[in-house]
Order: sequence, then structure tokens, then C-alpha cells
Amino acid sequence: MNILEVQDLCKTYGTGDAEVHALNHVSFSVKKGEFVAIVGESGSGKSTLLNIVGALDDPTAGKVWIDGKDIFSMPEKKLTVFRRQHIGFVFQAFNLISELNVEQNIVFPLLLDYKKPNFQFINELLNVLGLTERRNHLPGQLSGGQQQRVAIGRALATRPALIMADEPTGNLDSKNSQEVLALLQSMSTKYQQTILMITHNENHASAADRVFRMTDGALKDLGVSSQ
Amino acid sequence: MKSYFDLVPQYEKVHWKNNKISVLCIVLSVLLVTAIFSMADMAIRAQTNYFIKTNGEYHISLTEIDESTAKVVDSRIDVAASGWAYQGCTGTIKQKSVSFAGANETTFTILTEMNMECGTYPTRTNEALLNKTALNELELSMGDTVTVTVPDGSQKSYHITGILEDMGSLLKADVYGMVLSEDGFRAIADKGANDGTTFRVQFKNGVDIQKAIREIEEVYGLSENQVSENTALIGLMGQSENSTMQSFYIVAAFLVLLILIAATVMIAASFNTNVLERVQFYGILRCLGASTQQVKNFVILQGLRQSIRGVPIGLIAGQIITWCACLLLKSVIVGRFSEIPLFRFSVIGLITGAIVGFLIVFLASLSPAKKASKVSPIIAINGTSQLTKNKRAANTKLFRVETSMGIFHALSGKKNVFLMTCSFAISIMLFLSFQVMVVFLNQGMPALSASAADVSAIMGSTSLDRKLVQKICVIDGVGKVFGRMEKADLPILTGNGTGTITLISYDDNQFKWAKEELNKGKINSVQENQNSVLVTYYEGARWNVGDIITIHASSEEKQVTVAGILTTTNATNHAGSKGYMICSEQTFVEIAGDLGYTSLDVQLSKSGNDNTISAIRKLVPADSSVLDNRLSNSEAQSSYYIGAIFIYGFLVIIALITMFNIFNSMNASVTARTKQYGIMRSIGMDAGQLYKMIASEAFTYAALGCIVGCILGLPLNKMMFQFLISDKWGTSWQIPLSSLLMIILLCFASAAIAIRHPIKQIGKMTIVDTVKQQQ
Repeated sequence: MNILEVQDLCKTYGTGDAEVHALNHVSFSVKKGEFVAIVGESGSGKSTLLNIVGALDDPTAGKVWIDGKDIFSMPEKKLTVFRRQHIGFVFQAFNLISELNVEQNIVFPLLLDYKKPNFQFINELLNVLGLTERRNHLPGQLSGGQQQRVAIGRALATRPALIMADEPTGNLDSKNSQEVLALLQSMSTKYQQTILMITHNENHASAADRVFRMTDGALKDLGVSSQ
Repeated sequence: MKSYFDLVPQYEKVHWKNNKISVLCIVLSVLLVTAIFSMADMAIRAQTNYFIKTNGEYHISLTEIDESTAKVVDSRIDVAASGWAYQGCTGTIKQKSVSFAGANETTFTILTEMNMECGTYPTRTNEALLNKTALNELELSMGDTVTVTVPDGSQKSYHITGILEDMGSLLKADVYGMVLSEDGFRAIADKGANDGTTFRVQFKNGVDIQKAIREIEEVYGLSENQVSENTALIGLMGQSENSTMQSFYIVAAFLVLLILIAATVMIAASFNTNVLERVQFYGILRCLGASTQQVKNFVILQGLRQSIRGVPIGLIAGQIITWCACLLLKSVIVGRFSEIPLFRFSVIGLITGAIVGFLIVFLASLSPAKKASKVSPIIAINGTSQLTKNKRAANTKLFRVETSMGIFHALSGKKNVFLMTCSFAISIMLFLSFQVMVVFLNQGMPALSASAADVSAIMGSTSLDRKLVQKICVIDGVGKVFGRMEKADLPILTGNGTGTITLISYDDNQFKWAKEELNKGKINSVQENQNSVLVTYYEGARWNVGDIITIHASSEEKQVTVAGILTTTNATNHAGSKGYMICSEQTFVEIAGDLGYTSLDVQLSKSGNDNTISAIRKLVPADSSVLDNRLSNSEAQSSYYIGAIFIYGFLVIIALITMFNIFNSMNASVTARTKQYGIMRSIGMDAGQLYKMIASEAFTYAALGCIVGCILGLPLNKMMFQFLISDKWGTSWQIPLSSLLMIILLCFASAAIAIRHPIKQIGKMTIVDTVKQQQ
């Protein structure tokens, strides 16, 4: 079953001579529980693709279905709720809320939905992420690797259909990078979690089940990862 | 580029939007300070003109001094002008009283409140000026001769050389006014002249008047009673030692201080935010090798450059606002007191505005400069802001998460919360302080009350028939007619002992108007004749609502209950030892019998004129006085307008300070957190939740500011009220609920409006752009 369907996606910036085709008729699909990596050079259009698939930005043309829903046919308000409930994000710069502690950051999307968090699951997540001891710490008191683990926990808290990870190891050293990749991999397996990760580091793509390459706005399926 | 300072204009060019807000902030601060000080200056000038017109332009008057002392005082080096102002003698012209005044031409022109409309000033003993109304009523004109009964009872003829301008005091007292030369007055003077005659002295500019008074008393052996200040004029010059004026000076100094603090907080808050927004830029400067002192100099230079642009605009705008206020006054006030300075520059306003502009900007930029100099170069490299360092987590259990976050944002930065709370609180304190000035204005220089009469008829030897009301009502040009019966010195017994009161009757109209003067209690039961009365406040009065009073009337004893206490009443008779007591006409008749009216008040309709007054004169008994209050009423109204326009003008400016402060601070706060809002939106926060979060932040500031503003402002309000109002009029202090509600509502409404613009701006940006902000 495809959890993500992308069809003929285009994104153009500027007009006339300054026109740039960031995405050029991109189409692909991802199955439930798959860990997909998109690799490419800087400026190849990876982040643009991730932002559009994650409903953070609008495409110039094309369609995206997540869990069978055409996300750009939804009005803004409905789309926000959909994003909150069905898409999790992991950013390169972690983007944690500095005023909230580890546990609060993780349950934040649930609180935005006015839902009571399932603390059994949250405790399990904290345990899996190795953050149980740090649950009351503020982001400023954590190392980069720990902060990224909190961000992964936050993305998983709502058990979304899809997790989008934008260069999740970009701000980390090699040891922490390996830990985060291993964590994403195990989450994908343990919770049947679909993950779409973009990275410029081709070595990191080896952690994924399937790899795509992005070149000048065009996407090419490189097939199953050779782990 | 010759120096690193050349980067400042380059930076300003690129960040012109942020720069514009800072310059606007300086413009508004300078505008507000210039406008307030210039308006205060113009108000003082206008009031000075008013008091010169009503009292004369003298500083002190000496009584019971001989000619030689007068000559020595006149020759003092600090005296600009001096002269004898003779008054206190009365005579009659065709059975109507005439009040005599005497002075030489210079004294008359400079040191007295009188003006000559036309003609020449009398120089001989048989020459005189006569007031305009007298000339009209007596059908005389300049050059004619009038026969006057002088104080000794003899008849004397005077040649009218000129016309004396009508004065409210003459018309109100229903007397004619005649001005004679010094010799002319001395020729007819009787004992009354001793009490009315003064030697008036005007000092030169810059003289320490209090010191001069002490010297005059010492050197010429004069007692304190022989030297009187022209309190109003000296008070406006800031040189009075009169206790009321001293209270005024303290209050004024305090208000000036509050205004300066408000301006400082506004500029400081703007600079503080500005520096926070540029943290990364200062990090780059540090990265490139700038020393902490160089960064400090950079920030200060930025501030001063903004001042150079903002201050002149602020000064011009402040001056224009002042001119508009003066123009408004000029259009409202007509007649004798319309001498409001128009299109004059207020040096004090401009200097204060310029000082505020440069000095406060310099001082306000010192602290952010220090902060900027401490920015670590690492910030430029990793892009993290110092804003995001928190020591504790937000409490998300009490409220919904977005509300909790908003409250946390508001409370997280100590300096920010202090500045924001201060800006709200100072505005509330200023508003509450000026509210007392509004009460003072209404009590001290009241607008013409609804009950003010244009014409009053006062009984002579016989009372005024109550049926006169109907007869006067039908005269063309008459609006309302109402009379008062009065019975003076009625013995009474109260819980506090015996005494006397003056009983006064009111009709329905007067009861309706009395509600404005009600200090305590109710009026209805008194109006409905239920053995209830109103009493008036006097210093040392111990009246309470519900007190039982036994009145010893001629026929029988009568018990009445005090239903209410009024601040004042209109009466012809003097007050009894226990003040005045007011009751309905029916109750009055039951107590004292039908005595007829002591006085009848008439309000004219629009068509009312001199003929209407003549018609009223014909209806009342010949020995009654008919007082024409129209001129004195318009003088009082003019004085009220001068005060009202300036005081309400200040209030509007303070409200504007409040609004701008809140707008600026909220805009800056939201801008500083744009990236964070983007992150939250990417995680799933919807626009409504974002709005709620920013709103709860704004309302936390507003609520904190209101609490602190009330805690500091209400005692200040009470203190000023006691100082200026209670001690003089006995009005007890009450929480100024309506004013308080108004300013609190204004604060919250401003906060609500202030967040709309930045939220809209964020809403227009895509989430991706919002997250990229400041990265």
C-alpha cells in the first residue's frame, strides 16, 4: 500500500530570465513502513521537494497524496490539522521549542491537537530514544545529537503516516550522525514508520530501504539500498 | 569607506524598514514631549493673559502705606512700574449705584484690569470715563456731562472723556463703573477708599519676587498683611509661595517626570528590540575583529544618526499640534479673553523636545550598546540567537499549550517584561494623574453649570412674588425661570449640638441640576417632600446622610432627615453656622411660611438680548437688583475652555503614547520570534492557535501593566486628589472607575490591534520563508 504518491510535481521560482525550475515533473511513490532517502547536491531541489511533500510550500503544478488524501485540495486550516496529525518533521537545525523541556517538546504536536498524550507510549519513546534521564531538560542543556533525538521523538509522537527528515545529520558529528541514522532505521522497523529523508551525504543513504537521486530538479530512482 | 563608522549609513540603507521604525519612535517621543511642554507653555501664557485681564499686570499690592514709602518703592531698581489704584468709593447716578476707581493713565493701563475702549483718559478732577452699559442705559455719549451723587451725598458733574470697557464684575453686581484721575478720586474719597486703595507694583523680568517682598517688608517696616501677592500671576510665573500654588508645582513637577520617563521607556524599548534584532550582525562585526568598544560606538552612532533625522521632524510636528490646539481655542473663545498666543514658538517646548531627542536616545542606546558589545562572535557563525536561552520550561498544564506558550514568552525576558510592564503602567499612571487635573478643572474653573443664570433678580426690601415666574416666562427671549426662597439664621438642633442654618427652596429644575453637585446620598426624597433635606459641605462639616435635624421654626418644631450632601449651592444670604439646608418649595412653606422668592434666576433663550433684560427689569419691584451675568459667564466659560482643551489635549497625547508604545513593542516582539512561529506552524500549529499565542503574550503584558499601573496609579491618584481637591472642596476620593476602565480598555484594545499587523505579515509568508527568517 502506497502511503505517499507524488505525481508530476513542478516548482518554478522567478520569471523570465530569472526563472528557475527547482522541481521538474517529479513523480514517485513510497510504501507504508519504507525508509526512503533522496540524495543530491546542494541546490538540486531536495529541500524544495521535501517542503512541498510536507505541505509546507505550494507546488507550481502536480499532485501529492498522503494516506490517500490529495493534500493540496484541502483548505489551509484543514491542511494544517492534516499536517499536525499525519506528517512529522525532523529538521537539520533541530528546531526545538526552546521554552519547552524534552518531554513537552515531544508531546507538543499532541497538545496542539488538544489531545491527552498517551504517556505509556511517550515513556516508551523516551526510553527508545535514550532520553528518559533528560526528560525535564531544556533544549539548551542538550548536545546536538540529543536534540535531534528529541526532534525524532516529536515527529513520532503523533504516529504520523509520514516522517520527513531534512538533512537530519547535517549539524551533527559522525558519531552522532550514525546514532541518529540507526535510530531512524530502527523506528521505521519497530513502528512500521514511513520515513522520507533527504541528505547530501551518499554514505548516509545506505541506511535507507530505497534511494532516489535528485539532479537539477529531476528525480531518479536508484532502487533498493545496498546495505 | 574611510572609517568603520561609514558602515552605519550603508547598514541603514539596507535595513531602512527597521531604521524607519526607530526614527518614527524618536519622532513620536520628541513630538509628545514638545507638544506637551509647548501646550503647557501656551496654557500658562493664555492663563497669564487671562489673569492680567481680570486682575491687572501687577505682582504685589501694598496697603496702608504713605506717599513717601510709595515713592521709595517706585524708585527701587527691581521695580518696572508702580502706581496707586484707588477703589472702594460708591455713589449713584439716577438711583443706580456707581463704583468709582481712580488712577493715573499709566497705572490704569498697565496695573489695573480696566481698559479704555475709546476717548481720552481723564486728567482733570471733573473728567471721567464711564462704562459702556451705563452710557447706553443713561443714553449718554462721549463728550456729554453726567451728574453723579458722590460719596459725601453732594452732586457733582463730570465731563465724559472716554468709554470704559464693560467688565463682568460690574454687570454682575448691577452697578455702573466710573474712572477718575488720581486727583479727581481724592477729591471725592471717603473712608471706603482706605480699604479699596492699593499701591500696585510690577517687578522687572527675572526678579526673585519672594526675596523682593521680604526686602520691602523689612526695609519699609511693612507687616505681612500690608503686602499681598497677585497669586494667580506670580503663581503662573512659578514664584508663588502660596500653598495651593506650591501643591501645583509639586504635581506639575511629578507629571513632567512621568512624561520624561514615558518618553525614555518608549525610546529605550525600541532600541532594546532593535539591538536584539541585530544580534547576528553585531556577531559578524565581532567575528571580523571589531572590539567591544567599537561595537558600542557603532550602536551609539546609529542612535544619534536616527536622532538627527527624527528630532527635527518631532519638533515641527509637536509645534504644529500646539498651534492646532491654540487655533481650536481661538475659535471656541470669543470676546475679551481670546488672546491665546497664535503661531508662537514655545522655546521651552522645543528645547525640552530636542534634549529628549538627543540625550534620551544617547542614554537609551548605552544599555543596548553594552549588550551588543557582549555579543559573542560564535553567534554569527552558528546563527543561534541569544533570545533562545531559557532557564526553565513553560508550564503547559494550566492552560492550553498555545496560551501557556504566549504567557511564557511574555514573562521569559526579564528586561523585556520590565520595559513592557513599565510602558503600560506609566501610561496608566499618567492617565490617572491627569484625571485628577480634569476633576480639578471642573471644580476650580467649572464650566458654566446647567443652572447658571444669565440674569438674576435679587429682592430689595420686599420679596419677589412667586407668580413672577409665570410672568417672566412669557417675555420674548426668556428660556427658563426659577426662584429660591431663603430664610436665614434658622436655629437647629443636631446630634452635634445647636446652630443655625440658612434654609433654601429649590424647584424641580434646580433639584435636577443639583445632582451634579451631590457628594453623598440621594435627591429624590427631598424633591418628593418626604421631610428630607440636603445640606452643603463647609470646612469642618460633620454631616452624614441620615442625620436627624430638628428645626426650630417660628410656629413649631420640625424634624427632617439629611438625604444628601451637596458641594455647593446658590444663595443670596450668608450661610448659617451649620451651612445651608435645601428643601422643596412645599417643605420650605411648611417650615418657614410662604416668604416669596429672595432671588429669581433667568436663563435666556437664543433670541434673548438687552431688550429681554429691560423687560425683566420692568416686572420686578423697583428696589430689586437685576444682575446681568452674561459677560462674567462667558469669561468663566472661556477660562474653562482654556483649561479643558489643554488638559484633555494632554490626555489624548498620553493615550497616543500608550497606543504607540504597545504597537511598537508588540510589533518588535512578534518580529523577534518570527522564526519560532514558523517552526511551530511547521509542526502543526494553525493560524488560530498562533493568533491565540501572540494574543496571550500581548494580554499578559497588558494585564501585568494594568496591575502595576493600578497599584501605583491609584494611590498616586488618591494622593493628588487629596492634595488638589479634597483639602479644598471636601469631595471625598473615590476610585475613578470610569477613567480607570477607559484606560484599561484602551490598553487591551491597543494590544489587540497591535498584534493584528504582525500576525497578518506572518500569515502572508509561507512556512518555509518563516522558518528561514533570521537563520
